[in-house]
Amino acid sequence: MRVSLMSYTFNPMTRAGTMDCFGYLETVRYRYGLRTADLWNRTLASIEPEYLAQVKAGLVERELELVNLAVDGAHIWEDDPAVREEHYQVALAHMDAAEALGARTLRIDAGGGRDDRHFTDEQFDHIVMRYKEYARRAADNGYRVGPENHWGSEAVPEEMARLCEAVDSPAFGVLLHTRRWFGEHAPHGDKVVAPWVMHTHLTTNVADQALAETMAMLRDAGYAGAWGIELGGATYAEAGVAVARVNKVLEGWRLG
Amino acid sequence: MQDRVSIASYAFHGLLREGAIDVFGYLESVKFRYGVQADIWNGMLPTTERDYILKVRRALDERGLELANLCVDGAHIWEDDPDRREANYRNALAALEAGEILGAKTVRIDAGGAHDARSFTTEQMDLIVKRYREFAHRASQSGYRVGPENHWGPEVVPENMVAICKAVDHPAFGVLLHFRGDPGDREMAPWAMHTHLAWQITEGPLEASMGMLRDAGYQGYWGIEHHTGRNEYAEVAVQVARVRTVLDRWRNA
Repeated sequence: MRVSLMSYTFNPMTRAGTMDCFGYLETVRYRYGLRTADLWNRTLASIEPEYLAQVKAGLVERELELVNLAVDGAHIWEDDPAVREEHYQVALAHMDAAEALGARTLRIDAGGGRDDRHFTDEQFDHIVMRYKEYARRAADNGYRVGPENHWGSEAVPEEMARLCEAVDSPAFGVLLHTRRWFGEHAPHGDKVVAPWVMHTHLTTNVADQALAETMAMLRDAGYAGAWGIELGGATYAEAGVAVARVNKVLEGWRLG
Repeated sequence: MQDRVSIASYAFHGLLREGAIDVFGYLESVKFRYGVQADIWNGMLPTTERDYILKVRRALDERGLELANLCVDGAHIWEDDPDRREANYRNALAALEAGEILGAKTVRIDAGGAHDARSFTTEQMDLIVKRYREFAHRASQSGYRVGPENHWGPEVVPENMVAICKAVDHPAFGVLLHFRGDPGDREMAPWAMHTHLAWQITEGPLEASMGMLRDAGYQGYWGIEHHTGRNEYAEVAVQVARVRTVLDRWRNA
């Protein structure tokens, strides 16, 4: 069973200039012994083809599978049509990047206002139209694409479920950031979207039992992707603890 | 006791040129991919600014790594042009300061002279010896060693190197012995402070070379260096494995 550690976890190091994308790949492969990479787009210095070819070579050399590329700055809905179009172009460029890197899943957010808790009809129609388009392209290239319960309306369980039902494509999925929901159904958000989960950002600031229960719920719902972990800025040692805790759950399953 | 093996970061100069490794990624590699110690070529340090060097020091400490050597290009002592000589001297002082912040066990600063020359003039020799004495005095205050490598120009002639060693005559002075697999290695052995084991040695007279130095009383690191600039992770892994095989054989002898 695959475990991954999202590169945003090391965001403070990237900002300090002490971890670039290649250092991240070396860290996940050799420090933590993972066979996966899980990239935030801002860990990439650029999405120019030449650079991406180097990153791809870095993945291949280390025999790493890129389980997700999480893209900020490409969310679908922006009120200003010009900005919306700009984001659309950014999204297309990152689909190129995901395909160049062989990403198994790609996260592009739905967008809207940060404090919104409901998509308007206009937003919803446009978002669904775009996800259908992205999913068709992803299907043609063997990966899945979709939003994360990240911010705004997409972080409300029933809104995310409504979106999933409307897009209705096997190449569409949700990046589930566990236990990060808003609204009345927030406590059950993980379970509400479980049928559509394509990747995870496991929250590890919970007790062992709660972590194990969340993972078991996803497994029982048929989740077969990587167990991706994201910490909001961690030391190497703290990230090591998170990986060890997730591995402990998986070992428990293996040993029964 | 852990093997005293290091990998010179120059071994990854091809990846560095492509932008696919930096010093922090290199430290991850030596610690977690190879399980050896750090050995930094200054070409991998974009600056010797204190704040940056402190970041590298913290990265060494976080990984529990020792810095076997700081290998400095662009600070060789002799240049015919006095301005360039002075600029190199300033570079050498900055490199020594960096080495001290990083806790380098040894620092390599070349002697200089023309690349195709095979002897030092008296004027060159006098300045070179004077500077190495100055550097060695400073090194002794901070507990490390400093000296040249049999690298290029007159310093690749063993007799010239031995003459420098005898003239400097300081316990904090030493030679970075880049094994050539010839009798010159043995001549420099008494002063060896660090080593470079290149591919032609690790795939050639490796055990004889290492054995000769061990028998001469060498206590430093076995520094692995690679030069092709291609497939470096895999090529270096072969070299590390070769060196470990020798050390393993010695342990079990």
